[in-house]
Amino acid sequence: MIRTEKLCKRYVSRGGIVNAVRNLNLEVGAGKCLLLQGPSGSGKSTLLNLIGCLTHPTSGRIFLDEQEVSRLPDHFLTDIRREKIGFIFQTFNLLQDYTVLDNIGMPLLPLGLSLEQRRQKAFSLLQRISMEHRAAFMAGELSGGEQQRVAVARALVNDPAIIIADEPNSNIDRRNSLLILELFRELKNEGRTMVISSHDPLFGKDGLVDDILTLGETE
Amino acid sequence: MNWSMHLNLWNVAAENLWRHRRKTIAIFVPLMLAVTAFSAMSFIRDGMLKDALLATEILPDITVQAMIGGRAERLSVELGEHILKMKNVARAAPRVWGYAPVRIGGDIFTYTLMGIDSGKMPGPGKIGLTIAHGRFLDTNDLDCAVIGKAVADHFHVAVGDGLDFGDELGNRGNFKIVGLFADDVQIYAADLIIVPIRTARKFFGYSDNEATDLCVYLSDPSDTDAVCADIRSSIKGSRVLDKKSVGDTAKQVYGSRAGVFQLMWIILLLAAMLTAWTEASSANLHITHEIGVLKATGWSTMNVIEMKVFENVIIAGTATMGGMLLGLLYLLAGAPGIKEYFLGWAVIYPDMKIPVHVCADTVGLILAIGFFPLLVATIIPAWAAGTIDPDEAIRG
Repeated sequence: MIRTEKLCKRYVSRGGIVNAVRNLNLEVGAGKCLLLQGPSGSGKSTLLNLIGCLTHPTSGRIFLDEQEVSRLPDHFLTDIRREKIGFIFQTFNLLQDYTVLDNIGMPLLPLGLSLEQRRQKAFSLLQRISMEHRAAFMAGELSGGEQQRVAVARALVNDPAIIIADEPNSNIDRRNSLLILELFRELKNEGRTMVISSHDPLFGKDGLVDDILTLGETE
Repeated sequence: MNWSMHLNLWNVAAENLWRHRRKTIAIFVPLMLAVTAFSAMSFIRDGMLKDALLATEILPDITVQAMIGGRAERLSVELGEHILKMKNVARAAPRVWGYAPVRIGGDIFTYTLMGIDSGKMPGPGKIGLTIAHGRFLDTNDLDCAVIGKAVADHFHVAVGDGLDFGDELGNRGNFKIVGLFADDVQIYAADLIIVPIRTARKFFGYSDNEATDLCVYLSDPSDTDAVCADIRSSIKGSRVLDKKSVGDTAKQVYGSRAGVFQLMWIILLLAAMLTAWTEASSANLHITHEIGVLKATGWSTMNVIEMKVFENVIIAGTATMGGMLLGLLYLLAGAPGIKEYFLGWAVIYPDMKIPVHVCADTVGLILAIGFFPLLVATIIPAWAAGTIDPDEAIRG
C-alpha cells in the first residue's frame, strides 16, 4: 500500500544542509499500522510529510497503491491528499476562526457538497468522537485534547484509506490520549492503513501496531 | 462545471469577510471613499464638458469682434455686409449683447441679454435653442423676449407675461415674454434673455449701425480656416473666433478643473491598496498557514486563489458600486463644497443645476479603478502562499 525506495529529503538552511531523510526504504501493507520512533530531529515528521504528499522528496521514490507520487505536480497531489489520505498533525492545525463543525467539513467544500450535506457528514463524525455538544464552538475555545479529536474527525471526513498521524498524543492529556488510541484501533479494524509517529508507549500495546521503524539522528 | 463548488467558495469568502471584519472595514472604507470622490468628480466633469460642448456646438461657425487696445469694442454692421460678400459665407448677422447684473434679494445675479436680427439669423433650432413654450422672435417683434426656463422661474413669469428688467448699471427695459426655451444646455437656460436687436440696442445704448459682434455662418463649414484668414486680412483689428477653437478651450477649462480632485481620490485609493497589501502581507504568516492547512486537507491551489479572488470581488464590488451611488447622490444633493469650484463664474446664475453626465466609458473606468488595484494588492500574496508546498506553508 505504501512503499518508498531510497527516499531522501534534504533541507538547506542558513546553518547548513540537513539530511532529514536518507536513503529510506520502507513498506507498509494495506490495512497495516507502522509506528515510527526515534529521537527528536530524526526525520519522523519529514517522512510523514513525504508519505502524506505534503512535500516533495529530494530524491527517491514514493508509491501509494503502486502509483508513484514522488514527482507528481501539485494538482495531482491535491486529489491524492483529498481522496486517499487523512493527516493528523502534532499541533492539530485547526482553523481557529472557524467552528468545530466547519473545521471538520472544510475538506468537503471543494467537492461541491451543499452546506446541509457537509454539516450532516461532519456531525456524524462529531458523534463518533463524542463531541457533538461542541459543534458550534470555535476551534480556539477547545482544550488541546478536544482539538486533536476534532482534527482526527477532520482527517476522516473524506473516508481515506490511509491515516497519517504525527505525534497525535504529544500535546494532550491522558484521557484524550486513550480516546484517540481507541479511535485508532477502530480505524485499523476498518482496514485502513496507518503510519503513526509517537513516543507514547500506549501505541505499542494491544496489537494496534504491526511494525515499528526506528529512525536515527539526522546528519 | 461544478457550480456548487464555486458557490461554496463564494459563501466561504463572504463568511471570511465577516469573520475578519476589522480588516474588511479597513480596506472597504478608503476604497469606497476613493470611488465616491472619483465618481463625483468624473460625473460632474463629464456633465460640464457635455454642457460646454453642446454650448459650443450651437455657436456660429465664426464670430467676429472688433478689438481696440486689446479690448472688444462695438463694431459697425457694415462689416457684416462686407463679410457677406466673401466666398463661402452664407449669412453674416449682427448681434448686440452684454451682461446685465440684477439685484434679487440681497444678491447680484448676472444675466446675458442678447439681441438678434431674426431675419438674418438662422432659426432657433440652428442656434441650438429648443422652444419649450410659446414661439421664437419674429422679424417685426419689438420689446419681446424669449427666455430660459430657469430665468422664467426666477422672475416668476410665463409666456404672455411682462418682464420689467433693470440692471445695476442703470439699463432698463420692459419685455413681453413670447417664448421659453428648454434647458438642453444649462448655461443658456439659466441666464439667457433673447430680444430683438433693436430692443437690445435700446437697452445697452447702441446706435442703429452698431453691434457687439457678427455671427458668420458658412455654406461649407469645413473651410472655416480660409474664411477666418480672409476676415483677418480684410478687417484690421478684428478678433476672429472659429467654433472649433472655442470648443477646444472649453474642453481644456472644464477638463482641467477635475485635475485638483485627482489628487484626493488617488490618495484614498493608495490608502486602500496599502491597507490591503499590509493586511495581506503582515497577516501573511497566518494566511500562509491557513492555506497550508487547507491544501493539506484536500484544497487545491486554485481553490484557495478562487476563494481569495471572491473575497476581493465582494469588497471591491460593494465598495465600487456603493461609491458610485454615493457620488451620484452627492451630486444630486447639489455637490456642496465643490459646486462653486466646478461651476466657477456660472455659480452666480441662480437655479443653475449641476450638469451631471454618466457615460459608459467613465463607469468602465471607475469599475477598473475599483477592482484591479485591490485584486493586485491581495491576490499576489495569496498566490505566493498558495503555490508553496503545504508542509512549508504550515511550518511557516
